[in-house]
Amino acid sequence: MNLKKSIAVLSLALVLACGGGGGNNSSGGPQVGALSKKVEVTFWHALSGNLQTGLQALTDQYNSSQDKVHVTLVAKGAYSDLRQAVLTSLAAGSPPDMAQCIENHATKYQQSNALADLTPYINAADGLSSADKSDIFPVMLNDAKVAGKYYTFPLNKSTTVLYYNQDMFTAAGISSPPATWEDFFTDAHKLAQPANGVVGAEAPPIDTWISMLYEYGGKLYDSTSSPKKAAFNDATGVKITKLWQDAIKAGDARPVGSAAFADQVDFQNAKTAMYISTQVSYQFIVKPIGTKFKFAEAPLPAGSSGTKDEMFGANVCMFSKSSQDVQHGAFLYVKYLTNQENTTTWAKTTSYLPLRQSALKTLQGDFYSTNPSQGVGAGMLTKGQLFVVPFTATFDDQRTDMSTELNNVWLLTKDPKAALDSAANKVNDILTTG
Amino acid sequence: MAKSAALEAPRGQARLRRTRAVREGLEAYAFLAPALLLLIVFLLLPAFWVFGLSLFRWDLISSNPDYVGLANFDRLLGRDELFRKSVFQTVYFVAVTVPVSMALGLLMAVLLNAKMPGRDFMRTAIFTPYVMPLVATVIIWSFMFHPYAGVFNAVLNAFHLPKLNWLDNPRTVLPAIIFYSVWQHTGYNVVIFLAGLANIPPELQEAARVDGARAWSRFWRLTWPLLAPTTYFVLLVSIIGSFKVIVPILVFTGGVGGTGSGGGPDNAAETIGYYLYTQAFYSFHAGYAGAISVLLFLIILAVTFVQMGVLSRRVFYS
Repeated sequence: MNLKKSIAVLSLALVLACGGGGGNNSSGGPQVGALSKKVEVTFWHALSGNLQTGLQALTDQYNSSQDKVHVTLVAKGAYSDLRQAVLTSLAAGSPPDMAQCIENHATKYQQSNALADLTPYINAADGLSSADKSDIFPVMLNDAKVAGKYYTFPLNKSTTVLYYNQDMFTAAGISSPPATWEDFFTDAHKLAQPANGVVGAEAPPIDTWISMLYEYGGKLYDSTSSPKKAAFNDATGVKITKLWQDAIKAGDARPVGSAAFADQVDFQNAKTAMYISTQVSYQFIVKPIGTKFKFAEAPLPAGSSGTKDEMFGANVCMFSKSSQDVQHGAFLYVKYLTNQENTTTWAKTTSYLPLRQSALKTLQGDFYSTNPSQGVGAGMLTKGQLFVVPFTATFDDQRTDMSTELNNVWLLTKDPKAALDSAANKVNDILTTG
Repeated sequence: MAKSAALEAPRGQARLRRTRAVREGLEAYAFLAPALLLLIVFLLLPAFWVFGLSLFRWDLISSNPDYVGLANFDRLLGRDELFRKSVFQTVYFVAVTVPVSMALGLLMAVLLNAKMPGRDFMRTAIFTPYVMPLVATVIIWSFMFHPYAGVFNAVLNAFHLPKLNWLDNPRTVLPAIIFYSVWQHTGYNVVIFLAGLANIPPELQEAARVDGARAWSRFWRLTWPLLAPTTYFVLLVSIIGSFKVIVPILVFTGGVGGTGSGGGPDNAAETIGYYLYTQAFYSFHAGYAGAISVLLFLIILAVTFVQMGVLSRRVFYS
């Protein structure tokens, strides 16, 4: 046996010894009948604070409502920690039964046949009715598909909104939140108080930058090229990047610090007048702000092509290593979490988007009419302004490289065009080599 | 008959000696076996495995790793700018952290070796950073580096100097982490140097003093040469440890994936160890991370050989 073969055999033996390979494959689909015995389901998630409390409450309620399925929640830290934990567990051959899955992460897991196809459970007698399916927002159901199949199911979906300090707006003589990015930067200039270390806004995270790119008619990739190539370094990408860099140069904006949630803390301490973050951030800022100042939420400002906002949050996925009974039990639990009543409760207690149109109507009738800021994300959803970034297994790596280069622009160490070209080269390298 | 009996006796004794030697050898290996087994299973085998892994493209979870030969090394050495940057930054980190923490450690050890009030308390206080949980101390220091609320900027402000954006500026992030690392590691060097100083016979110092040698002369001509084995050990261990730095970079620069600033702004704090970690456990490029491990091993091996070649002749063991 030559050296090459020996190494391949040794490594494959180690892979098999480690249990790599993902376990049972659900090809062909299970025959779903009623659960014959009680099943235990372990659910890894990345929720904290009120979000974790909300999920725990619904889970406890579900566990006590029936005796066939018992779900145990395991908090795994942030989403990046959860992804790392899931990948490590897959490498060790012992994944959980279900987990929250960001779309890119699900694509990565599915590359190794690690996920269970949920279609048989959705279509089973105790699955979803056609009324259920048409009630769930289509953008969310479509987002749950990986390679055309339901390997995930929507759970906690969100989008970015603009939080603004109403007291600072009033003091600066601004009567309403900015409707366009031009208004946004004009307001940022009026709101900045350099002597007090206050800026109008802080540089956007990569996802907001992507939303802006779409709002100005730009695109991430050139879909006509083969292989696919980055296209965000064109004139549109440079234009929106320059808007931010000019604001930073003028002292109207500044880069976000490296400390955890630095932008959130700055908004809470009235060091920033405007803060772009997910609708769910409300749950984390409302208490620290308390009565210090009044704040509200507004839709993301519009670009020349209107408002387009990335849909965030996670879906839930199940792993093929678990038995069919466990997968079935896990799906019944997901069905319970996402029914009309519970998705309404979930939206109220966590600020996530309601998954169903019927739930949105209920919320518009009471909760959103008394808490209009909480309905901003849902408003964009109904107007069809939410989009999902085309997800791939390597998107996190691409995102990291793009973030690094954009941070160089915010730190004024790189020109927008040079930074975007550099990011595009890195992304193209990832697209080519994987 | 008598002649053959006379020949048999020494042969029997030789056989007995051989049997005893074999038995003692087996006993020694039996005693060594548990430690040896642990070393083989957790150190040697994984090390060899990493060498093999570096020739594959694999994400740790798929069942079919692709054999790519030396392609990982080709990309690392030929096209990967971030790896090159991380090598330079690691060398910078090692070149500053090791001599500064060694010099401070030696100075403090010499001072604390003399009899003085509160000596035991001082020794404990200086060693404490080394035994405190690394992540906890990094988090505390990240507050100290905070641009608005941090103590370091308060000090600069008191002297009417401009505030620094310590961890968010490509020029200051690595020096800030080096500052922390010197603080964290110096206590360890102090303890090792104190042990070395305790091994120097006091009568030699006394004799030099009687002969009229001054303090500096006693240190330079007596203490320093006699400390050579200790200095050599500290240098070797510090260089190897510093080349592998990961945790302070990870915690100070906000991890990976979140804000996109992992490795510092413009990756200005990216070291080989941190890059290896992100490739292996964030991007799950196991083969590529294996290739980085192999190169890191070769770099450390080369540096250690140079150290041995240059310094071992100057080290005297009593």
